Amino acid sequence: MQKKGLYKEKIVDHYKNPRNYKKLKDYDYKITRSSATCGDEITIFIKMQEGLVGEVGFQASGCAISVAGMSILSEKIKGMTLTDLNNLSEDFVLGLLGMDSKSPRVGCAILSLKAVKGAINMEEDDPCDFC
Amino acid sequence: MEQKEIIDQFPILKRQINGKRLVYLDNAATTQKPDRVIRALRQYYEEHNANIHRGLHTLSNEATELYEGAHEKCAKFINANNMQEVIFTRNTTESINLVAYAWGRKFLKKGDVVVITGMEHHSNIVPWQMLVKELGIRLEWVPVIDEGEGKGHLDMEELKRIISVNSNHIKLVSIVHVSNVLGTVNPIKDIIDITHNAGAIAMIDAAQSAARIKLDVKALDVDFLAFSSHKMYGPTGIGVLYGKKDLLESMNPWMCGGDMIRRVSRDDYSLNELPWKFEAGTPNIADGSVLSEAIDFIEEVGFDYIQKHEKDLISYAYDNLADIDDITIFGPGGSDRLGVISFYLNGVHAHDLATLLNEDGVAVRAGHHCAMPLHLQFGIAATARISFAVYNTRDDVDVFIKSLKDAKKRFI
Repeated sequence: MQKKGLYKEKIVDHYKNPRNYKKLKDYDYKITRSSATCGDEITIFIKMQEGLVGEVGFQASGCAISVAGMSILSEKIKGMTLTDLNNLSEDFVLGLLGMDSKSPRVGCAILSLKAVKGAINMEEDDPCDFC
Repeated sequence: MEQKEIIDQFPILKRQINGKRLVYLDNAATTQKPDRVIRALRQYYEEHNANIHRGLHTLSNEATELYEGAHEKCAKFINANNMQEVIFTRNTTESINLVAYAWGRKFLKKGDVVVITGMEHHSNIVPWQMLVKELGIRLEWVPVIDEGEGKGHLDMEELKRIISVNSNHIKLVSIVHVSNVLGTVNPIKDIIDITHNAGAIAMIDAAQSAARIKLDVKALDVDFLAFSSHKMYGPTGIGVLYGKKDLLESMNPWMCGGDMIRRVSRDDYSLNELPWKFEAGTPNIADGSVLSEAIDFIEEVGFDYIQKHEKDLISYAYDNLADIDDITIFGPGGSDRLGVISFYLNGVHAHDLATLLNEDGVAVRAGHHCAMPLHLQFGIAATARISFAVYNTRDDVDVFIKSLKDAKKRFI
C-alpha cells in the first residue's frame, strides 16, 4: 500500500519495527536529545571499532518521522568515520526519508542527525520534560 | 440566518488542500475571515488610508473616525462605559503583558500573591513568572481536576483555600474564561466575586470566549479583560484590553512616544487621555478599524445561534471520538464544554496524526497548545486538538472522523 504523502511504507515499517532499537552496554558515545515542542526524544549509543562506527543502538519516544528517521540513519552510519558523521547533511537525512526540505516536519526528521552529531561531539544531554 | 449563508461568507472555505475540500478545525488558533472583513480592509487602504489624530485633512479625519469608531463599537460589544476603557493592543498576549508591566510593576511588591490556574495559556503564566523573578511576588496555581466528578474543571475549593490562606497578600486573580485545551468554561462571575471579597482585582483571558459568549464587563464587574480580534473573525494584529477607568488612570504608560502624550517640553511631558495613553506610536489603524466588521458579523449571526450551533458540533464530535478505541479525550464531557476537544490516539503521535489529517484536507492543531504546564499534568507532550467556528458543519466532523479512522488503520 504505497500511499502518496509523507507516510510511505518504508517510514511506517521503520516506525513499527525500528532497527537497532536497543541499549548498548558497551559504547563510546551516548546522548539523549529531544525536541521540546514535539516531545520527541532519542537516546543513541555508538560503539566504534578501529576508527569506524561498529555498533549503533537507540531508544526513542516520539513521532513516526523521528523514530523512522533514527532507525534508517542507524543502519546507514555503520562503517562511517567520525569525520563522515560530522559531514552528514540535513539533506542526506531528508533524502533517506524521501522528504522535502520545505516540509513542516523537517525538525522531526533531523532530530536523529542532531543526536548522532551531538553524541560524537560529546555535547550535553537535552532530555524531554514530558517523556 | 441559514448555515449555508454563513458558509458562503468565507471565501477560504472554497479552497482545496491536497485535492480535498478544506475542513478547517483549527479555529481556536485563529478563525477564518468573512468576506465583509476582507473587503473592509481593502476599502480602508483604497479609500481612507491616512495617519490618525494628526491631520486636518479629510482622509486623516476619516481614518480617525474609523479607528475610534471601532473602539466605541468594541466598548458596546462588551458593555464597557465608553472607549476610554478599551485599549487596542496587538493580541491577547500583549493585553496581559500590558497589565503585568503597567499595573503589576507599579502596584505589586515582594510577597504579594498573584493567582492563576493550571489551565492557563503561556501568555497568562510567563508575564507573572517574570514578576516572580523581578519583584519577588508569589504565584499560586489553582489545580485542574484530573479524574472523576468535575474532571477538567477548576478545583474551586482549592481556589477558595488559596485565597483565604493568602488573604492579606492576594492582589490579582488572573484566569482564563474558556480553556484553549480543555474547552472548560470557568465560572468567572463566581471567581470575580470571590476575588473582590478578598480585596483583590480580577483579570479574565477571554481569547476563546469573545466569539462564543456575550461578554458584559459591567455584569461581571471584571477589572481587566483581554481578547484578540483574529480569534473572532477579525483581522490579525489587533488585541483588546478592557480595564476599569480608575485602574487604567492609576497606571503608568508602558510604551512612550507619539500619541500617548498631550504636551512635551525639554523638561517634561503630560500624558494623553485614555485610551491613547496606552497606544503609543502609529497604531494598527487598518486592522483596528476593521474589527468593527467582525463585531457586526458576530452580532448579525447572534450569540444564541453561535452557541447552539457550536455546542451541537462539539457534542456530535465528542460522541463520535469517544466511540473510537484507543482515544483519550482531555477535559470535561461533550455537553459541558465549548469550542475545543483535545485528544490523544494511543499509538499515533499527535504530529503524525495532524500530518495524516492534512493529507485529507483536515486542518487540526497538534502540540502543547501553549499550555505546557497542563500537558505536564497529562503526562503527554502533544495532544491533537479540533476546534469549531460558526461555519463548521456535521459534515466537517464526518470527514475528520473518517480520516482519523484511516490514520489509525495505517499506524496501529
